[in-house]
Amino acid sequence: MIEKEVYKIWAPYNNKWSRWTKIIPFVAIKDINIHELFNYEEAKIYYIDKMLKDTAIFVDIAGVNAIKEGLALARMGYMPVVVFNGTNPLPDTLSAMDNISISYMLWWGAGILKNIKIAEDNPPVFLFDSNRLKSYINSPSVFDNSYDIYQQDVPTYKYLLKHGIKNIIIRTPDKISKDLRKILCTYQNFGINILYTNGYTRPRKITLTKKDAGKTLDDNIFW
Amino acid sequence: MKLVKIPNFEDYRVDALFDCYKWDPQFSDSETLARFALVLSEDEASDVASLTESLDKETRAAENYINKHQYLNRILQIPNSLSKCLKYMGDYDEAKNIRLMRYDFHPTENNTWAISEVNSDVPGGFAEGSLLPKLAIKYIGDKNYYSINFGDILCGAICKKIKKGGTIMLVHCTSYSDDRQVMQFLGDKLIKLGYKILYGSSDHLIFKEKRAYSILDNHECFVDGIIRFTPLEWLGNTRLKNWHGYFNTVTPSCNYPIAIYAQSKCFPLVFDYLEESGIKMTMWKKLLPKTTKVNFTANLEEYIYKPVWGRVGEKIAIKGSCSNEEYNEILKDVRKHKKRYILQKKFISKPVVYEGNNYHVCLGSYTVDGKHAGFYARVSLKMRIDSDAIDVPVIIERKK
Repeated sequence: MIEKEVYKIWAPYNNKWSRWTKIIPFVAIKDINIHELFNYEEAKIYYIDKMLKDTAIFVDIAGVNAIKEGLALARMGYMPVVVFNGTNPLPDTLSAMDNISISYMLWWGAGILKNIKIAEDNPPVFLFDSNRLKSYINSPSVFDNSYDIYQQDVPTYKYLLKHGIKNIIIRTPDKISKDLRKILCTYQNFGINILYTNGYTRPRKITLTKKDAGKTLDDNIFW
Repeated sequence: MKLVKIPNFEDYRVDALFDCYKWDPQFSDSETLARFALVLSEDEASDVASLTESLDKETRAAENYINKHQYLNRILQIPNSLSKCLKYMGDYDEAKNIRLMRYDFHPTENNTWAISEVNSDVPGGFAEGSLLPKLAIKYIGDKNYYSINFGDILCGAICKKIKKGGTIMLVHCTSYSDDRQVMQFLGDKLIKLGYKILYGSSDHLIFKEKRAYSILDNHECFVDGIIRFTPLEWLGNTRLKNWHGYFNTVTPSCNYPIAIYAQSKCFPLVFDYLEESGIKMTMWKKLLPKTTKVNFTANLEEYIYKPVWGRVGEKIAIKGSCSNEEYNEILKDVRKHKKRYILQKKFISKPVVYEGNNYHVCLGSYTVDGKHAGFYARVSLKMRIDSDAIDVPVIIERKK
């Protein structure tokens, strides 16, 4: 089964971060046509030059791009962890978001990732699909497969600290999503530094507060 | 009852994820897939099956009675939004619908069984109760073990009541992959049996002359069966106005909303009323610890608080089984919302020892239309079986 092989490349059993890899985009690999056309270019990383051993990264951009960026960070040594949790509708049904292209990219990315050696004690990069929150649907007949990320979808602050993570870079184009903000707030409250980048600027330390939820970074300068 | 190691866990895990629909193997820092199987002797399995059927007989008699005597709804603390719809269920016909329940059994210190609740409305664990035990037996490699396939039994009941080749909507919260894994397991099985399967949310069904009609994009049609995994108390949140159609539909359903009565943790509070009317609740009274309304004078070393509409063990206050912080928070909530909780006598669970650890067992025992239909178990190092618990396949050891 190709989906099991692809999964094992993205989530090697002995890696301490792999346990948080979501299964569902891998399950859907069996349903895709692998000859579909895709943009095969790998991403370029502008915001860091090398892996920072005590720093995890949360990449929250459109899923397909998150995978490309995850692969580029893997080349620096980061362990990519796929946290895409969207379901698929019946093939001919309109849905709030497209998850099939993510499955395709995971299959494609496995071909690259299997040739990258990542040491077991390297830090993780968690990959999120920023499209997950697009719950707006214009008709009740549409299949709503938008979703939120919850605290239980990622490691606790205890686990992160235990494994040497002192900083988290959140990489997202403009505002930090509500669901991730909640999680990052908890991390921050327990002593983990949160740094922000839009993908082009150097990460800068930020301070999250509850009332920040939902505001854009431009409106809300907190560094 | 014992726990037996599953060898070659790395491969077992991948097979469980992809072949057994176990799409949620991680919850926060905890793995949810056990490295061992729960082995029941044939006598234990048969005892629990028999107790389950007795309980189920009582439950179905009780819910049919309550459905015709709705003055008891007040005691059951059924939310107002739902309460208004219950009057539509007057024509409920048990014979035309599929009634699925799961009773949660716990071995106790004095070598008896106690039950903590019935998952009356939307019990889950379908694939864990069907495929996972088979997989565990394959890895353990002992021909002396066998398992019950819950999915086969449920599908057998569906085939009896929903017309062959018909369209079935699997109603669930489409945003949750852990709901979808339950539905996908069942959907794949039903497709093999010749049904057309639609995956939709509760608001993808409307009701025309009491018949369920799908409005799912590109699949607008009458449906011949509803398998619902969206809890009833969430139905009121749908955008559509006619969600009460679920309560009087003539489309065969699993479960019909009659499930709401026993889902309330206040169900035991109506036992005396039921018995006065000739409905025996003997087995329930024997197996369920004493349950009363919240009483602030109760000794909390001996009693626990449970939320009336709680699920998966959340917000149950058991001293020593949750953090002090959580315990105090629940107690605070109980004081604020007394009617949202019940008080229940604590039973002392007898743990099963495995590799030096004490595992507390919650053995879920299914019924489908009154007949025992298999097992699903979760174990935990704490007495409270909640989201930190792990799924364990249940297998049965043949008598030698």
